[in-house]
Order: sequence, then C-alpha cells, then structure tokens
Amino acid sequence: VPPDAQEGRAAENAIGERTDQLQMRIDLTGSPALPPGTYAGTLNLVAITQ
Amino acid sequence: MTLHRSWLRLLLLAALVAAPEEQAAAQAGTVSTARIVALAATKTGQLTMGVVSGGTQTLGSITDNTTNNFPTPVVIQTQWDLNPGQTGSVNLIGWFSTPAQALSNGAGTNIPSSRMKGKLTPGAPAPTSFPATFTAFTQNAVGGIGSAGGSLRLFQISISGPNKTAARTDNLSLQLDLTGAGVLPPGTYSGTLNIEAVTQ
Repeated sequence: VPPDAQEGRAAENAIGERTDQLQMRIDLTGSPALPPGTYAGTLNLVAITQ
Repeated sequence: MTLHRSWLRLLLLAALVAAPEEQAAAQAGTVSTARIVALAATKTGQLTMGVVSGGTQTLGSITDNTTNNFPTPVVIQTQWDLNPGQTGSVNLIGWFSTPAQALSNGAGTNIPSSRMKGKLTPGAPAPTSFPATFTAFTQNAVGGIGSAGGSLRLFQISISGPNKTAARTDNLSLQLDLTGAGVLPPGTYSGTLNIEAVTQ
C-alpha cells in the first residue's frame, strides 16, 4: 500500500463510531459438577487508545 | 536578509513536522467511560422419580369388611441434585385425582381414597418423616402436587449439604381397607394412583 493511501485511511477513521457484537460462553468442559444455583458476575468494558 | 528567510523557513518546517507527533502523543492513553455487562447463569436443580417395579397392582380377590393388602410393593426410585440454600425438602406424594372415586367398577360403585392406604418401607437413610403404618390417602396437596383430601405424603426429606445430591429406593405397600364399608357388588374395581416428587 502506498504511503499516501495509508495516510488516507488514517484520516478516514480519525473520527468514527462502530458497533460490534461480543459473544460469550462458559466452558465447563472437564470441570466438576457445579452445585445448582445462580452464578453472577460483572464483565467490565472500556475503550483505550494507544 | 536571505539568510534570515532561510532560518524562518526551517523553523516553520520543523513546526509543521512536529505538530502531528504532539497531537498523537496527546491522544495516546485516552480512556472511555467504563461500562459493565451483568452476567448471570443458572444451573437448575434436578429431581427425578420413577417406578422401578409394581406399576400394576392387583388383588385377585377382595374380602368385604376387612383389610386387603396388595401382595407386592411399588418400588420407587428418587434422585436429586439440589441446592440446599434454595431447597428445604424433597417430598414424595401419592394421590388420587378424584378422592371420591379412587377405584370404580364402572357401574356406579366407587371406592373412595379414604379406603386406600399406603405405608412406606424406606431405603437408607430414613426420611425425615414417612407413613410407617398404613395411612389413608386423605391428605391435601403438598407444594401444589396432589388433590385435596385424596393425597398421602409418602416421605419428606430435609435437604442439607450431605444429601444435596442423592438417589434412593423406597417400597410403598398398598392396602384396600374395607372395614365397615358394607358389601361391595362383585366386579373389578380399577383406579390410578399418581406418584410425584416435589421440592419445597
């Protein structure tokens, strides 16, 4: 990609917004039997630039 | 004069080159507002029950005005995997849907559930409570299971850590108590006893 094209792309998404889908699963493969009940937790999400 | 202009150009160029780097340095490490995703996953308790044998009970000949014991027990196997924090007890209930017609000859003569009795010979460990002697099916529903006046709690077992996961086998003996019932018309009397386990 020519340097000019790279700079062009950077300029195009300097301002932007996007929507993404995060899918999750609990993998209990090989784990012992869980006692019945409700298991609760919190996943933290944050965006950061580098 | 020419030398002065050259210095100005050089300074301007340096400023132009340096500006984007300073801007990039200022934006690195920018952090958004933190958001949370609340997670919840439930493992439901398990409770199963089955009749191992004795699903058909037959009295070859009944005798009026006395007790008639069915010859073989109903063998019942119950299994569960429960959370003691959410379950107080496991209960086994037997009931007749229509207490006034526990058994019927189909010609208008009915035997009520008060004439049908059950007793439990429990497996180990012994339940918290159970009918150790023949007891009539005249109790009410337990935990929404059973019929009003046509039920019998066959066992109640308190759930705690040691028995939160268990399997057990119990024998239910049945009796048709015709003491004081008068004389029944000859014929075949049939009916259905429902058995179900429920937690409370």
